[in-house]
Amino acid sequence: MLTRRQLLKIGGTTLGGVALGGSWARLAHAAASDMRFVFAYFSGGWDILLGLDPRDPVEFSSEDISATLIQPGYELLQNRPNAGLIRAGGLTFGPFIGELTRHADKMAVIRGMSMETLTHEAGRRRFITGKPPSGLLARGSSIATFLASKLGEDHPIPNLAIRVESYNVDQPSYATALAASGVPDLVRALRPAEPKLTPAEDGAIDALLAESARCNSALRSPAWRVAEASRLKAREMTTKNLAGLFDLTNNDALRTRYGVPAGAAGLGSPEAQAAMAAQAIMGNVSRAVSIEATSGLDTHFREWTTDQGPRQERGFNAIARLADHLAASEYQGTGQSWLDHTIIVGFSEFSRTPLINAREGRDHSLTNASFILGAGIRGGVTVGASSDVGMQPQPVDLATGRVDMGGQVPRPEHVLQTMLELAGISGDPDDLRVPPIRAMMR
Amino acid sequence: MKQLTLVLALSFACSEAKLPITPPGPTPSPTVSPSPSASPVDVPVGVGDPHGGVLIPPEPPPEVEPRARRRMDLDQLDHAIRQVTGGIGWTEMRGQTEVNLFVELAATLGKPDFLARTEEDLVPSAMFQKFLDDAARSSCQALMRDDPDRPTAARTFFIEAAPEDTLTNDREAVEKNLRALLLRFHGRRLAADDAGLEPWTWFFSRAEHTGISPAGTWRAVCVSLMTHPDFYLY
Repeated sequence: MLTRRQLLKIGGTTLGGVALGGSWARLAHAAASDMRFVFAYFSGGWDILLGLDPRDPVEFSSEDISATLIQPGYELLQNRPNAGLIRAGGLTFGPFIGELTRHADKMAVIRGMSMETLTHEAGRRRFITGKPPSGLLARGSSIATFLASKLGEDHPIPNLAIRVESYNVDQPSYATALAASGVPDLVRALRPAEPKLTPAEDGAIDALLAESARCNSALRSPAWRVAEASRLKAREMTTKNLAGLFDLTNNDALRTRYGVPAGAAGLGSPEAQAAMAAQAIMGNVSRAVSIEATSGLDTHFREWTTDQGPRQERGFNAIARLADHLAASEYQGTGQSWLDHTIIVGFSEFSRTPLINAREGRDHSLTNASFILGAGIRGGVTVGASSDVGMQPQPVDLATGRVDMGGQVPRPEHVLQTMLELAGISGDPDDLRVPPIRAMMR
Repeated sequence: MKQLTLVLALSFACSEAKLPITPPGPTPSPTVSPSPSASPVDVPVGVGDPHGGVLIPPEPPPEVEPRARRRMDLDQLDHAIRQVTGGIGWTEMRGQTEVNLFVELAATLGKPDFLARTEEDLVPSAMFQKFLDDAARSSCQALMRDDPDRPTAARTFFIEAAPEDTLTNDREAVEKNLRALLLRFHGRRLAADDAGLEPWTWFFSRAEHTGISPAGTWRAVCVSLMTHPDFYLY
């Protein structure tokens, strides 16, 4: 069976992009339409020195801080004595990368990325949309919304977002995220409407609302049109018995697999959200799922020494278990795994300063990193690097991934464009205005 | 076939299509002379046509475009439901505590926490619609239970009709009650012969034809009124 990339290669080299039509184009589209996407948000601004962009504390010692402007500070971490670098699958990580090392061979890391902001909302919205916000207002739809719109409306909830913002400014309403603040709220939303009415009463209400929506005043109103589309979507969602799929309270096997903490509080945990993402993807409920992999990373004070690392690690572990689950599950009788058809991207709004402040914490830094793993990703690859003085963003040759002063400084939109390219969506229809990072594409 | 005929017979026209429409007048033309019988127009010196011809009539007032509809925020919606039901909200008893579900689900329904979110998401999304439906069913069920026992003057739903009234046994009471409910829930004051009433009488006809009990019909009317965009969009 030809892979999507093989098909595209054939189209690009022998038939030409324009000539790729008819059945070839349909085949290529079918392959692309098999992709799923998980966006894992690490909330608060992660310290990349502890995870994705570490420095060797021997090389970057305390004595040289004035020259390097980089302070790994691993010796200050209270719950990880003798913390050091971790190497796996050709990648080097900080001490709190956790179980994600298991997937290093399927993962690429982008370093030296510029967020161009030190504001939480602006950085988060920049990464979610691939466009610099206007002030704090998102300018454009979320990439998850865009992908859901391009991949079709066949799934019951094409775009699902738990504790992550989502925007739809220019895409069809079916692509709007079903957004919930936690797994319990999602389960409640997917249950049939309650209290129950008789089918005849339900039918009468539905008929009246549907007829009203066909009137001129309704058709002239964008809000009414969205409301009616949403009403129909809500009705569809609740008739598909999806609540049970996400109800972890009675699913001990899933809770154990992900390590979901006991009790109701556990249902809001990173582990529960990762489990929910797996259910949404493998249950064929959603094409794009956004979750908050962890939170509480905005450690300006002494909590950096105690909380930053463990919180990051908890998020990495949750994503690693999700990847384990996807990798161990066969994709619809093909002999391939679900991970072969899923891309997971991990991101945060920005990172933290390479120097520790006077309060034993780290402040905001616009230099960022990101990881992307799964389908079509060249594993064990590092794209770019932050500078060895002050960890500044640096330009990169997007084809080789090496630092190159003639290249481009990586930004979130490069990562998002790469995801679109991997989904078979070329030509920059989302107006990201940057090329993909081919260095991390297989 | 019989069902199809019933559906066709019961389908209603949009009320606004039947509203009396003022026929558009002739397009004012700046070159048409006033008729001899028209009153003279006072024109300040120097405003007339420099060529000594026809006076240019004053610009017609700009057409006022209706404002785009906007969804109520959660507080407004919670308040509006309590207002129309006479104090019944969307709540759930947990032990001895009455939990306001609009408060409990506020984050999911897009209310700002002023930490991660600073403005309310007012999109009438699928999540909003689902929970609006739940809220309407819950508060309408309580309203159907409580309202008949209230003193007549304090009733908010069975204002002009009784729970057992139908179009067949008391059309006038049903229509009067529907008009009262449309005023209460949607702020629309309708005359007895107003076309805007038609969808709701049609609703009653349909309910009778499909065998819904009178109590069930009124409950469904309540849920429809509350989930209708005229309730939560303004």
